[in-house]
Amino acid sequence: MSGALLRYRVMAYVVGVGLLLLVLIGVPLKYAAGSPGVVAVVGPIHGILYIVYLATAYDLARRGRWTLGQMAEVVGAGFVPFLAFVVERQVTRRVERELR
Amino acid sequence: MRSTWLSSRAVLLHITMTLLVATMAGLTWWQASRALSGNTLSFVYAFEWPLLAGVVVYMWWDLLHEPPDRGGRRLERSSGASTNGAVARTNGAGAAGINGAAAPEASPAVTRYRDDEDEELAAYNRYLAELNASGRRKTWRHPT
Repeated sequence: MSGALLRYRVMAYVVGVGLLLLVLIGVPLKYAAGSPGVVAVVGPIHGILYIVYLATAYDLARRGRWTLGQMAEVVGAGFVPFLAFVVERQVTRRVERELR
Repeated sequence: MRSTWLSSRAVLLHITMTLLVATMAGLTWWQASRALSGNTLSFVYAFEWPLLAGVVVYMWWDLLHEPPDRGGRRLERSSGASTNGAVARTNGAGAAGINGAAAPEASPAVTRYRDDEDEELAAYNRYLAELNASGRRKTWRHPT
């Protein structure tokens, strides 16, 4: 259980940072400065990492009782900037409370 | 086997999975057509959308076939110290069905559902209330 939580937390941070790179740096560079390099590299990598993130989140969720709303938050964290960090804190606090 | 495939929970899973996979199939088709017209970025996305659809199908299958209520119970049992908390929640969530008596306000020390119950009956009613609470909590898990 603590292993699943750790895997989820690592992926939440990776996906959170990756999305910020994509939205705050990659997209402005592509559409304002006309250089698509960052999007071309970070875009596909973020896509793959999001799938891995989803797998770790699902692995964590199926070990406890998560509501649909909690699942939706976790899914949304992959494409709403900054949400990953907020949700990660909530999930970690809740899982650690349940474990105690 | 009816409940595996035809319970309301299962039907909801079928609908969700179908909608998501159909959407992802459409996105795959769109990215594939863009890739064929020379967009290398779309070439990668054309493979990622089917992969994500595969994850959705896996979750759908796993949620359909998971044993009833695995995990959740274990978590609740292991948090034995919070038993009184669970009972207190129950009073709000509809313990009134037990013995047909309306649930009185929970005192933190001992919760009683009837004035005339002895200690053993009180313990049993608390147990029933806990079962009731854990069974009715709205989760996406397989119901008990």
